[in-house]
Amino acid sequence: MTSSRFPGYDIIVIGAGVAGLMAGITATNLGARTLVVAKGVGSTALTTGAIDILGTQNIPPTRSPAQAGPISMLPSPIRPASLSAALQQLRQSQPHHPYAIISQENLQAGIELFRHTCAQAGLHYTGIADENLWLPTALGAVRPTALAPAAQQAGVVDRPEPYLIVGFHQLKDFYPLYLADNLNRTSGHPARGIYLEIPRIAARADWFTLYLAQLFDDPALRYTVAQQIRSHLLPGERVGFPAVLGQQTSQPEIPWLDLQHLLGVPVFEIPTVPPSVPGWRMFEALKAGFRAAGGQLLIGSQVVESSVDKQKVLAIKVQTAARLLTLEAGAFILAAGGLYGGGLLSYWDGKLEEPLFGLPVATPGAAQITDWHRPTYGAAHPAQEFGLATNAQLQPLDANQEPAFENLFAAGAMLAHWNPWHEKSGDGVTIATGYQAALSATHCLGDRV
Amino acid sequence: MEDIRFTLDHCVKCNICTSMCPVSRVTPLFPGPKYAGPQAQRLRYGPSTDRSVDFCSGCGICSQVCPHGVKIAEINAKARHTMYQECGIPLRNQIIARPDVLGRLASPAAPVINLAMRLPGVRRAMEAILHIHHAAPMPSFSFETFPAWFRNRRQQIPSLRNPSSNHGTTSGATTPDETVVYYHGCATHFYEPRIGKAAIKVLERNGYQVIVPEQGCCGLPLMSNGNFEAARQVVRFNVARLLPYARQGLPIVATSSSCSLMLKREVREILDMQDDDTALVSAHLYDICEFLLIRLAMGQLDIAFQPIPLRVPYHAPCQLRGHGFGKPALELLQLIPELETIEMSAACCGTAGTYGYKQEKYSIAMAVGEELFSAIHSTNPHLSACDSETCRWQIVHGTGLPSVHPIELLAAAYQ
Ligand SMILES: Cc1cc2nc3c(=O)[nH]c(=O)nc-3n(C[C@H](O)[C@H](O)[C@H](O)COP(=O)(O)OP(=O)(O)OC[C@H]3O[C@@H](n4cnc5c(N)ncnc54)[C@H](O)[C@@H]3O)c2cc1C
Ligand code: SF4
Ligand code: SF4
Repeated sequence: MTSSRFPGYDIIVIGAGVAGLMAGITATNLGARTLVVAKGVGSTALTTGAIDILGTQNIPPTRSPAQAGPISMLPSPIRPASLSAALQQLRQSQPHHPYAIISQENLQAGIELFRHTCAQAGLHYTGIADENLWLPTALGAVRPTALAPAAQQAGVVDRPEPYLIVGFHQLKDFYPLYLADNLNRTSGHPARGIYLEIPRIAARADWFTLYLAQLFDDPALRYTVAQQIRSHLLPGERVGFPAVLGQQTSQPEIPWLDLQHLLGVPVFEIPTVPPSVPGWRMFEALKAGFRAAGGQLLIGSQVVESSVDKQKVLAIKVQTAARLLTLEAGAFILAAGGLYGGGLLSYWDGKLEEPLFGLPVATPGAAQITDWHRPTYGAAHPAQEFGLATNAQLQPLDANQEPAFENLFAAGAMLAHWNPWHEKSGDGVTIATGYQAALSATHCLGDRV
Repeated sequence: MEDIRFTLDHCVKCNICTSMCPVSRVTPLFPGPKYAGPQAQRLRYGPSTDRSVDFCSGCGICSQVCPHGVKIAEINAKARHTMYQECGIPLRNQIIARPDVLGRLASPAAPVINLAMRLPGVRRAMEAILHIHHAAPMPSFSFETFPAWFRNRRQQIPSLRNPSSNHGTTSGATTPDETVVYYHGCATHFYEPRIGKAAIKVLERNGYQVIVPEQGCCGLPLMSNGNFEAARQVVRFNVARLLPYARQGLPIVATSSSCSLMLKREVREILDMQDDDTALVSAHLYDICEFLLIRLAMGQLDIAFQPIPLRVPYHAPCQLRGHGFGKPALELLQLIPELETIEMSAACCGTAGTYGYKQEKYSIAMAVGEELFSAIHSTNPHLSACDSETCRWQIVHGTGLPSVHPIELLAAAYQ
């Protein structure tokens, strides 16, 4: 026997990134027996943990290389204009954009479900309904984002308090003095940086963020750290930490709230380079939400093939240790990530491929491989918009622009016609499309659920 | 097959593996999977470069979470082998890597030896001489081994006699696709025959004729203690015993999720045994819960389970997760009325086979397991379930509560 079969599901989601988990949570809530299968953990732990919906406006539609402008064509930040107006403008100027094919109601409902799921896991997201938050980065720049974990909120540039940024010698790639210098320029507020000592900390080659975060689960350590800060703190200052304030998942905000309590001033976390603890907390919260809803999660298994007939996907095949395992379902959601996540593959000769179903990969603005990238780093590169073209139900389209299969839906970084980096829309589009794909998939199951 | 070490080229240095490694989180002695795996591998041309790779427990979590398919745990296993080739394998590793030899020597005198092992002086002496930690959860030898029980039972029930098997065969149908081969491994053989008995009960209840061939240790302890040559030898021994059945197309079912992963995949990826015979045996190997779930999907599982009114925390061992088929035990246990199975989210019990026995690693293993132990305690103060023997022993040690294989719950529910 070279392959085997387990009992089937209503819906199988391929991918455990934000798109896959949001799709899984949505489908399970709607009563579908759902499996999320993924070969790895996806990009979630690399993110800041904050949800970007749209950080820039006046984004020019993708142009052919001949029309490509210089780097000064960078879109302008949405500040302080309204998010909904910018979304509206985007929908009009870019009719293929995922935000244009998903309704505003479903975008909001998806975000609400995300917020609710995280809150159940003790992770609260704050954000203003129609305006971006501007938060410091680990380099001292400021970035727009729509929803931030509560622990990051007090860093917003709109608040008046001067910044005291603290850091630890053990943590590489987080330099409080450098950060403060830049933040002073970018935010206009006074900012200074100091290093703190962690008593009796073990010597090790590298103190990764999650390891340091583990130490902050200890109330005694938080107490000593707060003592040190108190001797430096000037009246009126707020305190910014690298985002390492605790890693336990049962009550993730306790270490942050405790430090705020001990210091009596606003305390906030600044996300670090990957792997970032806030991204990790978000991943844990989504996983917990999916499990609590009754979904099944299979991480560490690659989907290698599909079995289809003319209209439908019948099953996927997962590589297990000794054989292929066939898993059947009524509907499938492809949320396997883009060129980075592994859902799309590219080759040296310019060939692009969606390996599981052989779906065509749309390459807006790039007829050949020499068009994939612009010469300048900060430009919007066409390659960032490659992906699957879909209809409004998020069914991927075949070469004739017809739905490839009636029971296949796609979400997240796999989709074409959007640019997370340039638009600053990463997890906004990802959440909304994950949600929408699950709505469509459940609808397609009809009476089965 | 391409050498798995080439997968290092896929590493993007995201450190997701490092964040998830249960060992490097709790000890600075191990720099973590990214360093020990893809990073150090670039420098490993010939001689061993880093002794710290010995602190990798081989749990395999890193390879499961890596978003880019780097076979980190496997790279580490090979590096450990190179290291031991250079510096020699300690006597202790040679001993604990041979549970079958130990069992064969000790079982006849099980009561005495078990008693002796409980004397603190004996364990202290073992620690001083062999560097086996005195508190490590050593299992008790069973006086009656599983194969002995199986043979006796056949003699007592004449209808069970069947000349076609080596060690024995049980009742039931005789058509080939209703026959299964049972690979019990050392733990069931010498320490926990009750698990084999439960497996036989469940399989027979479902109409299978069970063949229990002569067999040896799967070789995993030898491999993880760096002795690849000896490991290959015992694998060849097993392949020779199992091959005739694989050739007939009979499923070979194992109750230890670590033994079955060894024979399914590690033999190829880590021991580089690429021959057709080994591949054929691998292709016919099933974890018992995997096997039963496949039968359920085919509508061929007797699901007339009696209620078990219990709340049981379930830990899916790292090695089971390595099979890549999910957690079939969870789905099977759901079929038992009134049984509430709670999946534990902690990643690892810490012991990783023989790792936790070692004097210098015992406290690391206990620190790793702490999250699981306390989660079990807060779920149920009576019992826990887990598919792998060394994990069960570690859980019993860490929680003070008994731990069973899911097959025992299924067998109990068949009454
Ligand atoms: C470094 C980085 C930082 C970012 N920071 C932010 C931020 O701060 N805020 C924000 O809003 N957005 C951010 N983004 C963007 C946003 O996170 C992405 O848009 C989003 O993560 C995409 O999620 P996804 O679920 O579509 O894909 P991914 O997260 O890439 O997940 C893909 C999943 O599919 C699985 N998979 C792939 N192929 C297979 C297969 N064959 N079989 C089984 N499984 C498979 C993978 O293992 C994985 O689980 C960031 C992205 C990156 C890469
Ligand atoms: S998770 Fe994989 S890609 Fe990331 S650092 Fe580890 S080995 Fe490299
Ligand atoms: S196998 Fe386990 S202990 Fe070894 S590096 Fe990987 S995660 Fe860490």
